[in-house]
Amino acid sequence: MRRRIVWEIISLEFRLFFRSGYRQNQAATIVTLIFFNASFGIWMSLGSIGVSLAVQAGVLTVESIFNFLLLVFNGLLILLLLFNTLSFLAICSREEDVELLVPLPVTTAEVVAGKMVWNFLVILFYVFIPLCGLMAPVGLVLGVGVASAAFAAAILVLVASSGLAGLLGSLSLRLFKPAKMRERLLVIVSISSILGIFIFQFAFSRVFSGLPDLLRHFSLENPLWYISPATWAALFSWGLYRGAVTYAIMPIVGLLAMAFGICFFSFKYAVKTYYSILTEVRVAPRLLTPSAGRVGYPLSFLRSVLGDAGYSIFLNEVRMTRRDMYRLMQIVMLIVVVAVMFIPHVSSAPSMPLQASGFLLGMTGLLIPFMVGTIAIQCFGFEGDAFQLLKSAPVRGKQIVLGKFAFYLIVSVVELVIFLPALSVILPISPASLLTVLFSSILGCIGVLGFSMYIGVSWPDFEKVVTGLFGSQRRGVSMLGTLVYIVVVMLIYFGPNIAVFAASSFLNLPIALTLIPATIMLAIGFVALGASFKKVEELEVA
Amino acid sequence: MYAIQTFNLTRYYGSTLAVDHINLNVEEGVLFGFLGPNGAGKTTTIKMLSCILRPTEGSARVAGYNIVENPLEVKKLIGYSPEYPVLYERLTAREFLDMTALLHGIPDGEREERVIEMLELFDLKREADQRLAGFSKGMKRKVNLAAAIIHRPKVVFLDEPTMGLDARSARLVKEIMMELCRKGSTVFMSTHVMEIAEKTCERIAIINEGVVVAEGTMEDLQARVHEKTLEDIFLTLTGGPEVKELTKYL
Repeated sequence: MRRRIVWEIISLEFRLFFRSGYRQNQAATIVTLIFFNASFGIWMSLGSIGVSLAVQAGVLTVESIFNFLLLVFNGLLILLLLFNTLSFLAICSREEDVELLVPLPVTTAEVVAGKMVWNFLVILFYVFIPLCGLMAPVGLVLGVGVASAAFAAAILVLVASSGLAGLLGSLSLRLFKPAKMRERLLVIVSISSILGIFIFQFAFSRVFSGLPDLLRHFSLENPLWYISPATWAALFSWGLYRGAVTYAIMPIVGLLAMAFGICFFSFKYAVKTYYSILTEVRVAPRLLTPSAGRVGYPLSFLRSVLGDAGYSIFLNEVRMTRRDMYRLMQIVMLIVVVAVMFIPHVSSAPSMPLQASGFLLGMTGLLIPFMVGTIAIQCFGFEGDAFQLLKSAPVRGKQIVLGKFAFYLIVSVVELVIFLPALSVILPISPASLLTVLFSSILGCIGVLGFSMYIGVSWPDFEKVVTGLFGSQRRGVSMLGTLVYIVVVMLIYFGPNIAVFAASSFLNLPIALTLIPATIMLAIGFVALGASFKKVEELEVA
Repeated sequence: MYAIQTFNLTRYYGSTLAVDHINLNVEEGVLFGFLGPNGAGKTTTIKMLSCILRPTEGSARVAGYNIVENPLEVKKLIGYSPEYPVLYERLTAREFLDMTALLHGIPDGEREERVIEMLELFDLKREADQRLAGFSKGMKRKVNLAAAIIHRPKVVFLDEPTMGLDARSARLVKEIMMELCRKGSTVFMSTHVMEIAEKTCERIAIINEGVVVAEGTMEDLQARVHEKTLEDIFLTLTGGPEVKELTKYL
């Protein structure tokens, strides 16, 4: 019966995931899933084919494939950790569960088990086909056995990712309520155990004969690499390829311990906290510190620019984000991801080639506006039914859009102004390059956010929890809107900028070329912002 | 034999006291009305008795089990319908009822029959395979009520069961509640509709600011405050400024 209940919870999540909106059929969701899988799969296999062909042609050594796999596994881990945590946050704090699941005779462990398994399956939905696309060309060079083993290791990386997402999600939700001593203790034990696994692996790697050579081969002397399960997956494949079973055993034992150890502690902690997350965070009123009336100088300036109505929308957006765990976590996770990009480079930064430094700086300048834009496109849909109140108030569309736009612009500019100069401290970058990239990023950011306002207003989704591009989560914008946003920003801003940074790195072209795509995005953003003023007047809540 | 017994049941939200040491005894097979002004603590009490919220102090026994020590046993024997219709809106009515029945452990063969029974009882058969998102508020309420009684619980907690229902459906709900009691179940209902409480409930409790200010049969309450209608009894016991006084602000 226990298994049956867990299965029923998975089945419930499955149905909620695939049934988006009020439509009776799931065609849109399935088409979007296929589109995502196909496009992601094509990119993955193109990369894989390129590396494999280069190896067969003798341009690259066979070891390059493992470096490539290491890069892809790590990329997947970070990307999926971000989206899976958001997905976990959404499915574990669903308001309906309080009234519908809690009064039923099912245990918290059964509910949490169902939700965690589902959260893992969501990852598989998105990356199974792309992983096949990645491994097929690899298999042609390394043999089917090694490619299959690497595939299995990649799945274990995903298991670790969803386990970490569970732990991060529960911890984030718990932040909103002071934990009891027993729960605090459990967090400390969980985190220490996970750290223990890392330390054990690191220590083992130092005493295990032969492995240090392998690590040097991958330039993995930096202990920070051991934090990533992706490293162990790549090392395992490498060991198998070399035919040295002893090389392969340690990484796979480590990977298994890491993946299932993390899942075990994550599950234990989630079970401990799930009930209180649902009942205390969702049901109990939260006492807030009065904040009305505190208007300092910068906000007074903003008020004079936006007008009273626009300023009120801006303040509402600030409060909604601050008091809404899901929205706040999106911004916090963005900061975490950018910080994670830095950490592995801190020790090697001063000796990093100038080109690589410029590329890292440029990527950070691109990532922040792009990610804040993905959050901003949801801001109209997140209003939910409350949007009717805005519609019935004597507020012009322009003020609604500008109020929201101002909030996201401030968030992005603050992050850019903190992160880019911080990077320039640890990387060998000239002040002129820093200022150019900063200026270009701010221009691009205005454009991206202007465009995201148009997307948010054109394809809003007022439902609370819906199927998102990366799982069952609150989305606020339709899948089509998300796709249009990604395609346009990638084609016009992100892609050309990457080309500029690559060209300036390898061909020594001036980094100032980045101002061209930024200015084009700015122009598009202005037009889109203007169009969204009118669109928001026509917007209706169903 | 009591179906529900509370012992100094108390609940705080932070420093706010929502339910203040209430003691209630509800006999088996009784339709019990729980009345009170907005924010008096009715929903919090029902949520504690349904094992949704844990009491801060005190405890209660529902269907013979302690809600703090044996919540799972309590949940097997109770049904709960929330104040506002809450559903997984992307499921169909049939799927939702089937899932609820399964989670209550009703065996496969019987489950389908029970789902059909409920759909027929609440006149939802035509809409059985439509997504709940497209249902009206009244229809959603009916699905919640059907889910609360599909497993034939011993004790049913209904929070404002007639809110949002048309006259016909409200009548149906009243009949169902009385029939459940005739068959031996206990119904614990909160409502703002005095007429329903007056006509259907065998015993009534009035809660104000977290404290039970009166409890008994209609006759007990009339004798206590010397008022005839439940509305007058309610207004006398819950106090507050006179309506006429308040209208001067208009």
